[in-house]
Order: sequence, then structure tokens, then C-alpha cells
Amino acid sequence: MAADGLTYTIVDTANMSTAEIYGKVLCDLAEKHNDIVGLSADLAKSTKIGQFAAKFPNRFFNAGIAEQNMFGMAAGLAKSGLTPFVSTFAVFASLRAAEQVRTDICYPNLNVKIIATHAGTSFGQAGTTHHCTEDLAVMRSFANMVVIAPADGIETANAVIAAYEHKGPVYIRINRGFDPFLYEKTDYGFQIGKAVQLRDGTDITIIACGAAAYNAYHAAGILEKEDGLSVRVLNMHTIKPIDEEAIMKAVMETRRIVTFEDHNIYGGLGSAVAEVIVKSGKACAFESVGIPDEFAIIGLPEDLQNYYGFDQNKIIEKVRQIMGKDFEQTEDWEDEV
Amino acid sequence: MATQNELFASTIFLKAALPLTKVILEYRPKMAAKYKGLNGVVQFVAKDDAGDIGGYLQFTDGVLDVKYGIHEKPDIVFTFKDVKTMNAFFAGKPAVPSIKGLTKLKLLMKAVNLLLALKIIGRKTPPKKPEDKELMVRLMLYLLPLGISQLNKAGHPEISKFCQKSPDRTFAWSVTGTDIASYLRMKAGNSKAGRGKYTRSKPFVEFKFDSIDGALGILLQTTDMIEASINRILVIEGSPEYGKEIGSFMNMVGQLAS
Amino acid sequence: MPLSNEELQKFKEKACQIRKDTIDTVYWAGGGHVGGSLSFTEIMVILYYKYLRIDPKNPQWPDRDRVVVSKGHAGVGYAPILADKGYFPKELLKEYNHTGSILGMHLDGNKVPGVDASTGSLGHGLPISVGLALGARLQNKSWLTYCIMGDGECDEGSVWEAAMAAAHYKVTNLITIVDRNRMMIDGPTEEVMRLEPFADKWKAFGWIVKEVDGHDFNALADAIEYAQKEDKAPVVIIAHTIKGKCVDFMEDKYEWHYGGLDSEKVELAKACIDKHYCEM
Repeated sequence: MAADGLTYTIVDTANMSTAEIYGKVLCDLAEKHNDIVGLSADLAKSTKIGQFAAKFPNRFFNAGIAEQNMFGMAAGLAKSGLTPFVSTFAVFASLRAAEQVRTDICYPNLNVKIIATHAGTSFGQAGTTHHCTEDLAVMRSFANMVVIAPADGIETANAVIAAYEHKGPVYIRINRGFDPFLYEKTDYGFQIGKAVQLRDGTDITIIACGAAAYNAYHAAGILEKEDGLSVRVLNMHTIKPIDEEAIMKAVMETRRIVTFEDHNIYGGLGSAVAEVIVKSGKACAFESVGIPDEFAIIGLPEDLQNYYGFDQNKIIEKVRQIMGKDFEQTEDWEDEV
Repeated sequence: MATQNELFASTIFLKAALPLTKVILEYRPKMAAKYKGLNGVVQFVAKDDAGDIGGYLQFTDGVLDVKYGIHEKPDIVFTFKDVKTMNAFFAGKPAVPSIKGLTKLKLLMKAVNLLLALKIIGRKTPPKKPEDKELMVRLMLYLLPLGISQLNKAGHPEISKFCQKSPDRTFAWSVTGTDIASYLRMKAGNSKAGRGKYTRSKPFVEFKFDSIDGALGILLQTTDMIEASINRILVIEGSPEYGKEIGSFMNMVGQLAS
Repeated sequence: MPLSNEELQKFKEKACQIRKDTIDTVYWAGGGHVGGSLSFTEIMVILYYKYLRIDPKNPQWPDRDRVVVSKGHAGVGYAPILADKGYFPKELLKEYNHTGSILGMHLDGNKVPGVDASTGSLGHGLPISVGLALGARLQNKSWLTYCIMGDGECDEGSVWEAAMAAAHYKVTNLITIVDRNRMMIDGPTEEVMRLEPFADKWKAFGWIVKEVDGHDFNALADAIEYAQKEDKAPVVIIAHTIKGKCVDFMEDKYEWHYGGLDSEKVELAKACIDKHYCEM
């Protein structure tokens, strides 16, 4: 995939992932609150915590490629009264240092805020070693951990602020910083544990998080325009504690729920939603779409979203399928001259 | 016999660039007024063993239509000895056609004027007047998706391979603060270029230029791409890998047309 | 500075008492990591009775020195000291490991006053200690962090990650002591996973190493005072000890990493401990 005329280095990519604005928000927070410190495992440039590092060098600790120690240090820093924000790739945060997160941070309920980047298949080209389609399942199972999957850069910024204000550990999983903006402003009422209703609807409810939420929102627009379907879209940014009320409302009012996530179908958003539905004993058509318990193939993330069924087109197809409709096409392929 | 590349270049000129003459008349009302009531067909044709290649301007009561192919009874014919020469002519390089129908002077002059006006897209430096700058950017942003789509339809190996694999996706270009916008839709081998904002869904990749001058800087390659990104002269919304891919197709169109 | 005879005598008596309390606790608990709890008695006694700036009446005192017993399995040796210092009533030792007790095999920082980190899984204590020490420095606090580790524990990669970070960040308000009793569960450390040249490893990671006899109070005092003052690099005190020290049938036996004692063995053990102290 050659591209002429575009030479860049890793330093430049730090400037190009402009969709990730939480770095600035963290810096603003840190100006006001002296207890905020930052850590990364040699990934400060790839995650936006590099901005914090540049602005507050004496409050930032690079642990080098040593995640277990990093999370242990974060625990120690939190015990000494500070509020550490730790950032590395999701696969390393949730798996390499899983025990440290669970035992050193969740167990004593420490104020460590984890910003796990390159989650799901968002680092598609890097292959399975850098994918993380298990982190929601793992983090959900740690008591005391709050698990958030923001839909875009604006929501991430909100999540970072909310995480700071929350007492206890928080896990925020985001992508690479190239996500399109779902929201236009930050003041839409972000609250941990409260799903955001992006669209109201009565035929079916899509519950999604992360990149899938953006895709779902736009898919629903097309479904309304072309099929006349009334699709409710819930951005379930907080996987734990999950918004049971919003799910039950969707069950009662739309009776069809389909979930989309960049995660294994086992243990993530779909499972969490299913737990609520089944526990209620109410009838509801339910499907969950995600990585079908396999290790994702290599590919560009947008292609993987299509391949695994949670890009805009596939969401539309899936909803139509559930609603029993055929896929329609606009077939005018004449160029406009 | 014309080479693959020569044929692709001619596709750009005849099917993407030449039709832009209509846009010129649309946005230059004073110039268009002079074409009122004009009638006639001006044919451009390149001789080739595998079959002549050509396109023509058709004026009907002052309304211009641009078509690909050979007209039955053109009033004026610019004949080029081969595709290479015709390409050079459209690229503004020295190339002399033989011209039939020199007697229809008025039609000839009008056609030549239009071609001269079209040369604006081949400029290496920005024009001085604001309305010229705007026209140049508009024409270039219309040319790009059109060129890529036509190359796909002509079977350009890289572009058609990309299009073949593509799920239903749209790539868009726009200049903030103006009505200049265009798009390219692709799906499983099909492609469609269009003008204006694509409203059916959010584009998969959108190239947003912050201004006409900003766009000129990027399109004429006088502004460094990384700098442009940091200063947000050009913001590429959506997948960066696909942004690069489409960027390289844009370059291909530009290179073939020079 | 050498300890006065009075101090020395006091510590020896305290160590004798704590060892006996450890044996009792193992009995009440139905079993415990007795070997490693007896090897670090002198280390813990001199810390808790001379050097630590703590207040048992105020376990959360913000300016207290922090103690991270990274070898958290030595709970039966740690709990008696906390009880003796007054962090909780000594009677609670009788409920060690019982359902609902605050005391279990690994002391829980959420439940037991005086415990600064819930250890038990090896390799966690040093990273946490580095974090604590950095936190103190960042907030301009003068409290120190003491990390007590096992030697087998140093197989864990996270220990060396922390060691690298401590040297890199010049974490000198941290005092690390390794209880080098040369034994682990499956056998001697040098047979299971060779640690030697152990001191060289720490030096290679940028630490200053002090090797002492872990049962010699004066040597420990010297080393700790050195570590407290040293500000060029972090200091590790490798305390050479004997697993199961003072209980003849346990000494230097890796089998006694963990074990249970019936009342007969308890008496025998206590007699050994007394004998050793009379000899000293």
C-alpha cells in the first residue's frame, strides 16, 4: 500500500492522530489538580499521555517496556496519595499486567486510572499480538473496576474527567486516535454508568460501544431514511456498571436488541447486555455481534470492522436481516459530469 | 499503437478534464454570455491502429455538452497523429493537430477560448485573482474523483483492484466556507464521481481544506503535507491508511494529466 | 553506629519472643509459612523496634514510614510483630486463618491495621514500593519506604523491572532488604533457579549492595543506617539468613517453607528457641 509523497516518522504520527483530544484535557485537569501523575510503558508518543509528559515532565514516569512494574508503581503512587493515569496498549494493560491491576489496584480499590489504547482490532495491521479483543471480559470480572469504552475523542475526554472524579480504579479503552467524531461538543451529559441515547426508536435497539457506536448511529440514519425503520441507538460507553435501566427500557419498548462491539462475543458488551435481559425474564429478540471467538485476522481496522460485521454497512445489513428485510441498492453508477 | 499509460492519460483528458469546460461556463456567466446561440460540434480525435480515440464539444443554442467518442458530422475536427500527441496537446505541451473546418471561425475561436480557459488546471502557480483561484480549486476538486472513477472504469490496474475490494464507501473533498465539494463512491468494482456534498451517509474519508488558498497550496504541492496536517490546512477525517491510498490515486490523476 | 549492649539485649529478647509467638500462631492457624517467618525475625525486629517511624495508634498517619512485606507469605511471622506493637489485640492471633478473621495466610492491607500493601503474590512488593517512594519524593515528604523481599521471589521479572526503574529514577528513599535464606518450596534456590551471582545482579542494575549476616543486629543496623543516608543510588541489603532459624528440626530445610505443628512440636520448637537465646 504505497503512498507517494507522504514521508513521516513516529513523532509525526503523534501530531496526526488529532481525534484524540483527551491529552489536552488531562493536561488541563493536571493544572488544577496537583495529585495527577502519568505513567507509560515506552508508549507515551503512541498514546496521548505524551502531551502530559511534555508539559509535566517531573510528574510523568516512563516505566520502559515493563508493564507489570508500571502498574505496581502506579499502585504505590496511588497509595502515597496521588492519582496516577497509566497508559499503554490495551493488550498489555489488561493481560500482561492483569494480576497487578487486579491484586495491586482493584483489590485495595486504589485511585488508578488506566487509559488502554489500540483496543479491539483498531491496530489491525499489527496482528494478534497487538489486538485486544478480551479486555472488556477481563476487566469486567475484576471487582471494583469501572470499565468504559468511549465512542470518540470527545467522549474520551469526558471519561478522563469523570474517571478523575470517581473514587477507585477506572479502565478506559480507546483506539488509535483516528476515530471520527460522533459528538460535536462535550456537554451532552456524560455520566459513568448511564448510556447515551443517540437516537430514539421503536422497531429495534442497537447497543454499541467504541467505534461501533459511531457506525451504529450513522447506520440508523440510513435505515430510517431508506427503510423507514425506527432504530434506537444506545451508546453504552460504560460496560461496568452497565445501564440496566436503559437496557430494560429497550427490551420493553422495542423488543429487539442487537449489540455491536470490537471485542470477542464472549464476555464483553454483548454478554453484559445479555445478562441483564436474561435476568429480567422478559422476552426479547437478541443478537450480539463481535469477533466470533477467534483471533482477528490482520487488516486495516476499517476493513476488519467490515469483516467482523460492525461497520456501517454490515450493521445496516444485520438490522435489516433481523427485521426480515432484503438489502436494497442504489444502482446508478454514472459519473456526474 | 498507444500504450496503456497513454490510453489512461487520454481517458483523463477526454472523460474527466474536457467535461470540466461545462463547469467553466457555469461559473463564468460573462464568458458564457458570449456563447449564446452558438451551435456546432468540435471534435478532437487521435489516430490509432486499435481504433481512433476522441471526444467532442457539442454546442446547442449556446448550451455545451461534452461527449466521448467520434461524432458523425463534426463541424471542426482537431486530428492528432497519435494518442501521445493528443495527450500532449491537452497537457499544454507543444503538439500540432491538423484542423479541418477552419472556415467556421467563430466556433473555432470559441472552442479554443474554452480550451485556453481549461489550462487553468494545469497551472504550476496559483492565479492572482480570487475568482480565478476559486475556479481552479473547483475544477481540480471535480477533476480528482472524476479522474479516479474514469480510471477505474478504464481498468487501471491499481485503482480497479482497490475498487473491486471496496465495500460501499464514499470519499469526499471539500473547502470549508465555500460550496466547493465533490465525492467519489465505490462499491465492489463500481465507482461514481459526483459534485457537491454527499448526503446519503458520512463519507468514509473526507479531505477538508480550510480555505481556497490552503487547497491551492496542497494541490500545487507547495505546502508540506505534515505541516498542513498540524496547522489543519488539510484535515483528513476518517481512516488515515485510506486517506493515503486515495491521496496516491489523486497523484496518479495529476501525473497522467501533466 | 554500633548498638549499645542494652539495645542489643532488648532486641535479642524481642526476637526470642516473636519467634515463639510465630510458632504459636502457626499452631493456631493450623499451619503456616514458618521457615521464612523465622528467617527474617531479626530484620523485622530491628525495623519495628528501632528504625520505623510509625504510630500503631494511628495506622493511617500520613507521614508514617511505609512497610511493604513483599514476601507476604510470611504472615505468621509478620502478624505477631504488629500485634506486639499494638496495631491489634494479640488475642486475634488465635483466630489466624479462621473464617471471618482479619488474619489469613497473607496479611490483607484492607483489613489488618499496619499493613501498607496486600502482598502474597510474589514480585509485586518492589514495584509498589518504588511507586510509594516516588510518590513521597514528588510530594516532598520525608517518610521512607521499606521493602522486605524473599530471595526466591527474585525469580520474578517484575522485581527486576522495578530494580531498573528504581535505579533509573534514583529512588534512594527506598530501603530494600532481601531475606536470603537460600530456600524455596521445591528446594534450595540454587538448584531450582540459580540466583548467584546475586549481589552482582543488583549491582549490574545500578544498585548499591550491602551483604550482611541477617541474624546479626549490629550488621543489620549498620546496613540500614547506611541505606537511609545513601542518596546516590538505591540500596539493597542482602541479609544472609537461615530458613527456620533457631528451630533445630527446621533450620535450613526447604521442606519447612510451609508446615503445621502439633502441640508436641510446638513445645520442642519453643525449647529450641529458648536454647538458642540462652546461648547467645
